[in-house]
Amino acid sequence: MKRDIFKIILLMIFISLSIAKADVKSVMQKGNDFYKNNQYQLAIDEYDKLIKQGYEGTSLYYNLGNAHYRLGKVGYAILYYEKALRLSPNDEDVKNNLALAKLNIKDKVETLPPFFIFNIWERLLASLSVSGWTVFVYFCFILLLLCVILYFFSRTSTQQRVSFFSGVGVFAVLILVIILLAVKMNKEFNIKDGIIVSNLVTVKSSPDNSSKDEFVIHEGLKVRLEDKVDNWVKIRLADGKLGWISEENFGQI
Amino acid sequence: MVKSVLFGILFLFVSIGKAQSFVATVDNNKVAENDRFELRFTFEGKNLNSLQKFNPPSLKEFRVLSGPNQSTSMQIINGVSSSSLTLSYILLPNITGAYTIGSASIQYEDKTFSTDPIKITVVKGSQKPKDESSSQVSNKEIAKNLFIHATIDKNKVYLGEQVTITYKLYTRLNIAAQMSVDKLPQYQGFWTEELETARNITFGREVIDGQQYSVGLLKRAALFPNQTGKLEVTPFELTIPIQVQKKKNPNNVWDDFFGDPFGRSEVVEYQAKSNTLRLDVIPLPENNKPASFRGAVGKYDFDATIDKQKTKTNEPITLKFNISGSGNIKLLELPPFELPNGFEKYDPKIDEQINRSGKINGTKKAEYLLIPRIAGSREIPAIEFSYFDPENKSYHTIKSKSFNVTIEQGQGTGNDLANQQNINQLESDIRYIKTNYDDIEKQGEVLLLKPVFWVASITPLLAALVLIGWKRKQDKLSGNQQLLRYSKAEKVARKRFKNAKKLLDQNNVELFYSEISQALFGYLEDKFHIPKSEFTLDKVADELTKRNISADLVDKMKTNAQKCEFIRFAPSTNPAQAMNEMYNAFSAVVIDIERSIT
Repeated sequence: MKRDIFKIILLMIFISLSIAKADVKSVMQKGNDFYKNNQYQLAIDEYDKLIKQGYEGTSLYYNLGNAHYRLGKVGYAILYYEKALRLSPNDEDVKNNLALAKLNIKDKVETLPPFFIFNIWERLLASLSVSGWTVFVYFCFILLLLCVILYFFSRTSTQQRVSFFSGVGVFAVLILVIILLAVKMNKEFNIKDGIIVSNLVTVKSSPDNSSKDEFVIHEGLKVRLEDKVDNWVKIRLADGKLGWISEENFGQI
Repeated sequence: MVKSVLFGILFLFVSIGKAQSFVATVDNNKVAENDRFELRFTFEGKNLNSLQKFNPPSLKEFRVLSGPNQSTSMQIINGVSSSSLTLSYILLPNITGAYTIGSASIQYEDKTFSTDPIKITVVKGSQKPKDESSSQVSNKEIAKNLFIHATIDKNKVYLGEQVTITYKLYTRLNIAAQMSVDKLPQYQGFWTEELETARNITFGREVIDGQQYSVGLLKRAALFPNQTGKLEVTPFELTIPIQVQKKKNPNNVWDDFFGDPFGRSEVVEYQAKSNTLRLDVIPLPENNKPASFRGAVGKYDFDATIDKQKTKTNEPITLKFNISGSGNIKLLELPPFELPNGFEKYDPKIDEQINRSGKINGTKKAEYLLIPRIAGSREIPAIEFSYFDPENKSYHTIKSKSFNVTIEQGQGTGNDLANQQNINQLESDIRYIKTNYDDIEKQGEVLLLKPVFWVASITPLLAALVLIGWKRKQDKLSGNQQLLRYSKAEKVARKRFKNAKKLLDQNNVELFYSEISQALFGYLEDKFHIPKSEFTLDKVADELTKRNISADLVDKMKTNAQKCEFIRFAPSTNPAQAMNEMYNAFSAVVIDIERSIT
C-alpha cells in the first residue's frame, strides 16, 4: 500500500515535469519559427514568456540576443549574450555574436590592461560558471575520497605511496577550486554588472532628474551596479566614472 | 568733453558709413575704337571671405581681352583694418558709339550690393584707326583672304569613339610675324589628346572657288566624347599680324616720298577666328553588350600571361595584361578578374605607350602582383576583355586562357597567422539561433545550496569512512596482524620499558624482570615474526644475523638476555643496582636493533 502511494507520487512528479518541459519546447519552437520568418519582435515576445515564467538557459538567452540584434537593439542583444555567457562561459556561438555586437558600442572607455597574473586569474574564473565550479569541486572531493580509500586498501608500500601523493595533489587542487568557487560566488552575488539598453543615456550626478548632467553614454556599454535608490541605480564605468541613471535604461546581467 | 564725444560719434558715423562699398570704375570714359580700357569693380569691407555671387554685367559690346582678374588688398590704419577686392576686366570696344555698362552685383553677409551703370563713349580712334582707314583695309576684306577652318572627320560618333579635329589656316596674304593664340578651343564633354603636328607651319597650296590659297596646318587633336548628345567645340582664335599693301592716298603728295620706302606695306593685326563645330554623339548600343564591357571603344588586342605556374606560399606571381590597339588607351579600364581564395592582390603597375599621330593607338601594360597565402592547387579563371568596334558597330570579347597555379607550402608562418586573423574578421554577421534547447530550466537555487548536492557529497564520505573502518577491522583479524605487530613492536617495547622503569622505582624486583624480559622478547617476537611457541634465544640470534646485524650486538643481546634470566631466578645482593644495569642494557639493545634494521 505504502509502495503504491510512493509510486503514484513519483509518477505525478514525472508527469508534471514532462508537461513543463513540453511547454518550454513548444514556446521555444514558436519563437524560433518567428525568428526564421524574420518576425523578430514576435520571436522576442515568445522567448520573453519563458523568462517571465522563471526559465533560464543558454539557448534561450542566446536566441533572445540574436532577435534583439536583428532588430538593431544592440544594448539588449549584448545584455542577453552576457547572460548566456554567464551560464556557459565557453559557448563559441555566444562568444562570437557578443564580439560582433560589441563592435557597435559607441563609447570607448579607456581601461588599463590588467597585470598579467590578474588577467590569468580572471580568465580562470571566467572559464566556468558557478555550477561548473561546483561540479569541479565535487569531482575533486570524490577523487580525494578515492585516494584515501586506495591508501588504506593498498597492499604494497608503492601503492600506498602513489595513493598518498596523488591524494595530496588532489587535496591541493580541491583547495584551489574551493577558493575559486568562493570568489566566483562572491562575484556572482555581490558584484552586479549591467548593460545600458537605452540608445542614449544622460548620467546624472545624483538620483534626481533635476540634478546636474555628468556625462552621456550609449547602449551596449557594460557598467557596474553600485547602489540603488527608488528607481535610480548608481553605476560605475570601467574607467571609474560614477553617476546615477534611471533603472529602465539598465539591464542587469 | 562734449566736443570729443561729438567727434567720436562723427568718427563712428564715418567709419560705419565707410564700412562696405562696391563701386565700378573705368580708367577712361571716352575711349578710342582700338584702345583697350580697364573696367574695375572694387569692393571694400572687412570680411572678404563672406563675399558671394559676383554677378558681372553683360559685356557683349566689347571684346574681353582678359578678366575677371581678381586682386585683394588689406590695410590696417590706426588699428582699423580694411580690405578690398578688385575684379577687373580689360576690354576692347568693337564699334563706335555710346554704351552703358550695366550694374554688377555682389552678395556680402546676406546683403546685395550693386554698382551704378557706367557710360562709355567709343570714338573713332585717333591713331590706328586712321592708319587703317588710310590703308583702307577693312576686316571684311582680310577675312576673305585669311581664315581658319576647323574640320572634323566625322559628324556623328559613338560615345568614346575618336574624332579628329583639324584647324587649317587659309591665307592669300603674307603673314608678317609670329601668330599669337588668343583663345584655345574648348572641348567640353571630350577627353582630348593633342595630335602631333610640325613645329613650323608649312604651307601648301589649295584652290577654293577658283582662288589659290596657301594652307597651313595649325593644330590637330583627337577627341573622345564622354557624354552623349549634341556637343560643340568653341572656335580657335588667333591674332595674326599680316602685311597689307598700303594704298596710295591721292590727297597726300608727300606720301610717295615719306611713306614706306620699301614694300609700301604695313602690318595689321588681324583677329582670326575659326568656325564653331558641332557634332552628334550617340550612345553605344545596349543589346549584345557583354558583361565584361567597361567602356573600351576602338579596336584592341588583349592578352594575359603569368610568369610562373608553380610557386610557394608568400612568393609572388606576376599576372600581366597587354592591351594594344587604337582607341582611348589612356582611359582604358583594365578588365576585372576574379582570384581564387587565398590570394592577395596588389595594385597593378601600369605602363602606357601612346602613339599620337593620326589615330591614337598604343599599348597598355598592367602588372599585377599576386601573393598566394595558402598552399594548394588553384585556378585563376579566364579573363575577359570586351570592346566596342565603331567601324562594324559591334561588341567583341577577347578571352584569355585560364591559369592553373600550384602553390607549395613555403616558409613564414607568421603571415599565415595574420591571414587567419583576417578570416576571423570576415565573419560579419551573427551566427544563427540555437535550435537545441534542452538546457532551459526553471531558474533555481545554486547547485551548492541544493540539498541534493550535500546528500551527494556526504554519502560518499560516509561510505568511505565505513569502508576504511571495515578494512581495518578485517586487517586486524587477518594475517596482516604480523605487519601490524611489526610496526607496533617498538611502541609496545617502549611502553613496557616505561612500565619497567616505574617498577624499578617501586623496587618491585620480580615484576620488573618479568616486564623487562617481556619488553625485549616481545619486541624480538613481533619484529622478526617468531611465534611465541618457537621462541628461543638461538633462533633470535639466527634471525638477527640473517638481517646483517653485527655479531657484537647479537652477542650483547644474548648475554644480556641470559643474564636477565639468571638474575631473575637468583636475585643478587644489590637488587637495585642490578635492576638499573639490566634496564640500561636492555633498552640499549632494543635501541641498537631498531636502529640497525631501519
